[in-house]
Amino acid sequence: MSVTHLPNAHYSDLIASDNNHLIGGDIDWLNSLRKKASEEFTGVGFPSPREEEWRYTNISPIEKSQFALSKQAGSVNSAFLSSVLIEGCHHLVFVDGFYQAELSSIDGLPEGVVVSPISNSLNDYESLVKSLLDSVVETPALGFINFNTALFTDGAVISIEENTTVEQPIQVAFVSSKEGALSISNCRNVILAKASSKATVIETYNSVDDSCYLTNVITEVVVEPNANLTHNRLQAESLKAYHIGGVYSRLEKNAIFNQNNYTFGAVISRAEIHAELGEASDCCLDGLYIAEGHQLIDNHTRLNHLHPHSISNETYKGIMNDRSRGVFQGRIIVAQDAQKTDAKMNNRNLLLSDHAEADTKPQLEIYADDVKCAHGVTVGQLDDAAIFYLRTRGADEQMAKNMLTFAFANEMVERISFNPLRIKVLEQLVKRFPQPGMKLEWL
Amino acid sequence: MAASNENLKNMIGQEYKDGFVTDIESDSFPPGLSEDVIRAISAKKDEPEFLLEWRLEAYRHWLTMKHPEWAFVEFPKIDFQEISYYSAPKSMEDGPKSLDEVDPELISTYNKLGIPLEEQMRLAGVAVDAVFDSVSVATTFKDKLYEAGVIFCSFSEAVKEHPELIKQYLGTVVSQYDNFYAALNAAVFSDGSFVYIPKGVRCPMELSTYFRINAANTGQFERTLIIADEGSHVSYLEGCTAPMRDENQLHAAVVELVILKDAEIKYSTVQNWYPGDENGVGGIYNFVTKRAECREENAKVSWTQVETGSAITWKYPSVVLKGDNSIGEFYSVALTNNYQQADTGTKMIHYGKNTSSTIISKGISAGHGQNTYRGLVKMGRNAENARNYTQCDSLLMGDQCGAHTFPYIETKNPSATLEHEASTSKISEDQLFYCMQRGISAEDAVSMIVNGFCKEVFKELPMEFAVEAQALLGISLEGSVG
Repeated sequence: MSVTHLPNAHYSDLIASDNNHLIGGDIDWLNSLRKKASEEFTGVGFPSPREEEWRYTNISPIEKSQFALSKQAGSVNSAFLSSVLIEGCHHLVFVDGFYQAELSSIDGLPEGVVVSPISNSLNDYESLVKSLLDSVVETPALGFINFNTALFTDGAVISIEENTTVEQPIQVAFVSSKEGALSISNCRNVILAKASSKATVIETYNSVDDSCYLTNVITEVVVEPNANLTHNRLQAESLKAYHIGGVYSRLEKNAIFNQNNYTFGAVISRAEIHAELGEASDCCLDGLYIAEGHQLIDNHTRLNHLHPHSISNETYKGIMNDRSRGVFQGRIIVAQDAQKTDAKMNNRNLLLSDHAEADTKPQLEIYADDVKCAHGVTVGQLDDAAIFYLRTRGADEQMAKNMLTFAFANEMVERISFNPLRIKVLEQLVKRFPQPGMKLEWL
Repeated sequence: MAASNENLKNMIGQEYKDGFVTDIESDSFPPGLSEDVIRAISAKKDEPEFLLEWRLEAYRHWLTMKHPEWAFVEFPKIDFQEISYYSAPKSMEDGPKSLDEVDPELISTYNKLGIPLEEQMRLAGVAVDAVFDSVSVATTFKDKLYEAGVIFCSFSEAVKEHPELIKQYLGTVVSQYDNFYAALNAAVFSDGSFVYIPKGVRCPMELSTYFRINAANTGQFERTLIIADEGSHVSYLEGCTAPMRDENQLHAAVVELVILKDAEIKYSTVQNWYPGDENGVGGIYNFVTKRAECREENAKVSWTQVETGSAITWKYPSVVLKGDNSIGEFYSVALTNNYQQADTGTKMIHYGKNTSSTIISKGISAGHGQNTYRGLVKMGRNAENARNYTQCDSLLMGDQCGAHTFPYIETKNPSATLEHEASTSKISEDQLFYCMQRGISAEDAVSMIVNGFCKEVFKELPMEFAVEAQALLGISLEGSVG
């Protein structure tokens, strides 16, 4: 489709201005990568809703807001930080897009495992960063990717050594401070799970207050043969913020990748979760999104089965209340060589109010014949019979609804095996669907 | 399996049966499109002023439109100046008054296609409107239908005899600005069928239109308008064939259905346009806009389509469910073999309360065929208790073909309930083996399995059509088992 959408002058100017606060300004390959991305962005700009991939998500408020670039980290008090950090994890903390060494804690990592911000890695691990950066992300006309590549300020570098298991999950916490209001933070994470390694990574997004800002983040993931990586994403940004995120992964032979995507925050949230599946690899994409008020939560997933015998399982559940909208697009592509693929996708949506909306677009694109592919979608409301049953047991209507909605969402939460993370996600649920007998400290 | 595969391969050579050309003198416009061409078509048809104006508006709008690129089909750019927009058998010029005056060559063409136009020979119970290139050559059983109050005639005739109905309903479902091909059709449409079923009448027989493209380098642009007034019922069938040619020909039709209170239309299509040869040369581009509007309460419409022909099929028979309690149904079997491409599906747009819709789509891909289901289910703000059930299954035969599913689901009402299921699979070795060890040949076994796959759709077709559809599917699929 031809796009008559003009690139936004404000953001093109930002990209063109003298961005000497960026890391790696003295590294040639990085400079040329950034330059290429800037040029592409300047020509195209951010996507318009006339593009098929963005037809349900209009990001013009971002264009109108004219955010500035975040140039330094603001302050975050320790009480807030402790509410964000998950116990039992290694922590990497970024505030407004900048690494905060004094807030982070990484110790007792097995030998050969790298967990470090990009800003500190460009000397010691330059070749690692170079091999991963921009190696997985697809570069279709997604203006946000180019914008990120051109302007990322920092991000996490995680590399798990061969045959190594990292027992403690690694939390990469992105926090937006009061000073971060009305600015954009661009972070870029790269994760490499080397052959036969095992690790869990948790990305969290939080804000100190309810200010308006834009988070534009990309994570690139490579899972080498026989490695097993679990990647969680807990997005609980301020309800006035905008969040554009992406997880782009490549699975090699026999790799296992579990991606769990929990979305609760931001007035407009868009996540791209893409996976490229190698031979006999196993990919699981799970998601839970709960939207209230005027929130728009958009999740786009893509599973690209390129080689034989790979398996994918995808379940996304959404709950929409008030005037919110939930958008889901799940695309499964099975290439001609990807015989014996087994792909399943499921999207279930619950509409709780008269003005909520669900738009969903599950897609199968199949070029191989010996495959099993299925997708299912439902959109509906709570079962009247179930509400009635609970009311006969003495629950009032609101409580009955809360209990049922909680149970609908809890199916996704129960799958989390790491208990401290499970409690963090449950906190979000209990906050939204309070009910007696459901106290956090009992969980 | 190897031996039976060989047998199957040998049978691929089955030719397109209806691919002959009728040698008949025709009166065609030279290729090209301009306001003059539109005026000339309109003049040929002796049309009233309002219709010419309507065509010109459509044309002027069309000039501002861009060719849509979003579909999952690939074809070279069409040069709209290379197409002739009007072609009619010469013998039709004087307007034969009855069947006896129709050129025997034309009658024999339809006989050859198995559509006898002589009424006494016709299976009782089906009235046929035969459209040959740009004009309708004959409509059978007109008088008998007229007694029941049913108007069934060619579009040009309706324009002359019932201009008030045309004026009232034309373009109210698919406007002349609707989309690229609908606007083109509105500008240059030459003929088609018109049906009006008055209040409370149950049409005494099945109505049918048979479309035939004969002339080379022409496009066929027909327009069908069916109006079912309060409490009426009609079952309408549509069939199509074309000669085998190496050039692609464009068929851009528009079908509008208006369904009023308590009325019902059942619209069945068996589309067998020339699909091109095994190398993908030639064939018809079938770009059609079909839409039904359940305008008042308790209206019901059912689309059933069996799409086996055409090099490219690109259409979405849709239903706008405006009236409360109205019902929309869509049953489809789409088959792509060799290099055929199909991007087809439906749109169910729920506005009224308690509206319900069912979508059953079966796609079969073989050879290098690419088969796409694309469908929209939309629940409007006021569609209280609306209900949709969608099932789309794809069957892949061979490792060079593709099957794609692109459903769009938009819900703005919490009381609406919506289910969508899709699956893709192939004929399993186990199923084949089971049939074969019972003494059924591989070919028959495949045909049984495929027919079983399509059964839910075939059972919706009127009897004779169901038989024809099964046979067609058998021919189109022969040899494509791998």
